[in-house]
Amino acid sequence: MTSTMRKLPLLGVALAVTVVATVAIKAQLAPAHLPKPVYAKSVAYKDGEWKWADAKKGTVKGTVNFSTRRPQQPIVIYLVRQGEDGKPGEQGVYDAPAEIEVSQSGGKFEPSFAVLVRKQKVKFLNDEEKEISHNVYFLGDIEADLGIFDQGESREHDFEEAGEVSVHCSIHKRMDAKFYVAPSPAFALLEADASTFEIKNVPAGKYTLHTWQKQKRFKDFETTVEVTDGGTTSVTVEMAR
Amino acid sequence: MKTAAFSALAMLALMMAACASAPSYPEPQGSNGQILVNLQGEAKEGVRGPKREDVREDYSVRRTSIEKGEAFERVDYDDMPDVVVVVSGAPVLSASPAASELELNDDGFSRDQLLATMKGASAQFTLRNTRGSAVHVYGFNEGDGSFEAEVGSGALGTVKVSAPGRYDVYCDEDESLHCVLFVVDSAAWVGSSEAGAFFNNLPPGDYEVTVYPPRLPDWSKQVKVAPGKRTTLTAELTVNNLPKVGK
Repeated sequence: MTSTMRKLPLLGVALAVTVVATVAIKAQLAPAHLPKPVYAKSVAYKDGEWKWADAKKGTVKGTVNFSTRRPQQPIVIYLVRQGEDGKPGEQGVYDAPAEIEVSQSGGKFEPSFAVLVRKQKVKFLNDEEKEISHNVYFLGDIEADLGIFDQGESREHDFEEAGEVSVHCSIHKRMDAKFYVAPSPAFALLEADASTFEIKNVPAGKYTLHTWQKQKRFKDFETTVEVTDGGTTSVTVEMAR
Repeated sequence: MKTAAFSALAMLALMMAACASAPSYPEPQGSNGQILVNLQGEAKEGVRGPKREDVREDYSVRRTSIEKGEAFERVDYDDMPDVVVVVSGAPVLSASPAASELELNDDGFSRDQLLATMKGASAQFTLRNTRGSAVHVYGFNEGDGSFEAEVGSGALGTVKVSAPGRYDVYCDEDESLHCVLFVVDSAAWVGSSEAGAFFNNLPPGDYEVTVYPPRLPDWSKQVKVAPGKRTTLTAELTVNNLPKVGK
């Protein structure tokens, strides 16, 4: 037996002690709960003072053309109100849609896909029939961790910024969901093979129309649209590689 | 007394694990250096590993869910497959051919992430289709590198990609499938977190090491490689560092 081999058990003990000590130190240094998620690549919008409820409104209607076969997956068309300089301006004050509840029963997020609006609340329910803990964390444009919660508990979160969010559970494999947080209620969701859309009750003004694809196959499209009081603006959206 | 015996046993187990799993890497030679990235699989804070009754619960749920076509398995942070590690700025090393192999079988794509290394103006990976019919795959990249390919039933296809970057790979015939292709023009590694990512024969200099674990936050660090030395890093595969929110 070489001297190195004789030292191995000693090294093992030293390593074990170090591991225990590291775990203890880490537990002490664990960061306090932070108030905000990391808005890694999300977009912050100003609301301003003007209210949707008081605004004169119009409609945006359109057709989407695809340069090649489109996946049978949802596409979101959304509008961002422009400021004087053509950049995103004040999006206005609106009533956020009602809170949605997401079930985790059977190790599955249900719904596993949703389009939300900035400031909308989402409540994740651990509604398992058995004593199983779940976790919820977000990756993508918005990164955050809602922690671990036991059967019968829930966690609530409101999304303050717009962007794509991948939702996962750190305990269980294949528990995945996807959300898109739209900048305002001015959006249309095109399910599977739909290729026409209509966005009603849009406050009059100048907007940039954007696309978001759940399964990205085309470059996202954007164009400027003008919404007039009581009018209908027609748009053709071209999705190409 | 029981606790003491348990601690001694736990210590012994740790010791044995430490001795048994220490892989051996060649020592640095000449004026070049090395980088070793240990991929420390760390469970979510507060998750201590399943208790026996948890395993039983999970197992029973898994059985029923598998019957329904859904799996209910735990994440194994100590053996997380298909972790990609890229050393930006480092010259391309001879990657294992398996890094660029993807299979499409009846369960789906055989892996979550794969690598293809640029050689000249393009990179390539192989796609083996063991399904009963031809498949069309496509990869989307924010730049201009997107690709499409058709592979016949039981055939082995070679897919060429023209630009470095991250590609989301999908299949027309089964849109629930997804994997990620990393096309790199620098040293890179793909493997299980059980092993470490080892890079030998690197010219001395400053590099950026980035770890991409599937479905976890990326991890990156700037490192200096010195002549004849090994730089060892530990990348935690964890969601523990994400900001805590919610009520």
